Amino acid sequence: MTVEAWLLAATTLIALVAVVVAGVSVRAVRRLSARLDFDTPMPAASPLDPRDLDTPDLDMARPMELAPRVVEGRVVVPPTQAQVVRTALGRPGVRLSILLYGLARALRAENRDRVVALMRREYRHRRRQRLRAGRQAIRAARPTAAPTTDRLHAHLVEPRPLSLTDRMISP
Amino acid sequence: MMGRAVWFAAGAAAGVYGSVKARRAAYRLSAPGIIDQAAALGVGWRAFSAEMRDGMQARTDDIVHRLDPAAAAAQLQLEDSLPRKREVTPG
Repeated sequence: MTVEAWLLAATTLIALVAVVVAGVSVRAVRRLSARLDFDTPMPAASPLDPRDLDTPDLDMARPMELAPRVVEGRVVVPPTQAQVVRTALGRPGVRLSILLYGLARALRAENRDRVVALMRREYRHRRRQRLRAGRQAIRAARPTAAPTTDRLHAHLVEPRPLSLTDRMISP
Repeated sequence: MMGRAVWFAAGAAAGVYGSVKARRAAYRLSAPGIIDQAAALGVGWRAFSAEMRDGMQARTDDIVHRLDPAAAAAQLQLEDSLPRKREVTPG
């Protein structure tokens, strides 16, 4: 094997190593950028949800030890406070605790009495309304025999013809 | 004479009381009475669930305040800017 052949083989080997190193580097950079994009806080889905608050002020107020950094060749991005709070609120134990607290508060004596009083008042109100409507319907369907003001006026304007007894009394 | 009057008054009061109670029980067992009781139950359930929601929200605020006072302050500001919730009223 000549010297030129050895040089050609060495150059080919160096080129292959360079290509492999370039490929590994590109892959590492892509992975790093993807991780940075994933850890970037997403915009809030609803502006009314306070748990999605991730305002720039809070991000700017983040201390230096919480900034993304590379530790032993790996990118470490500490979670933001909003992410910590959201995760804590999503744990089953915390959710159960929240539910039990709400139930206990709703079942307190004062709230219980208030709810019962509301129900009783609503029932009485509806019963009175229904009975009043029933009485009005009965009056509208069957007028009473008592002389009304209109009937009295009609009688005064047009007197009834005298009966036999009246004619016997007054000649 | 006095004893008879007392007994008469007691009997009349018992009769009035019993008739009112019987009329109310009869109304409660009728169809309109059952509808009214269901409506009252709905009002009670709404009030109960509203109170429970308030309690859950208070607990959530407490947890958020413990974990992150800055986020709690921002949440309080946001709640102040939102319209108030409606009160549950009968009728």
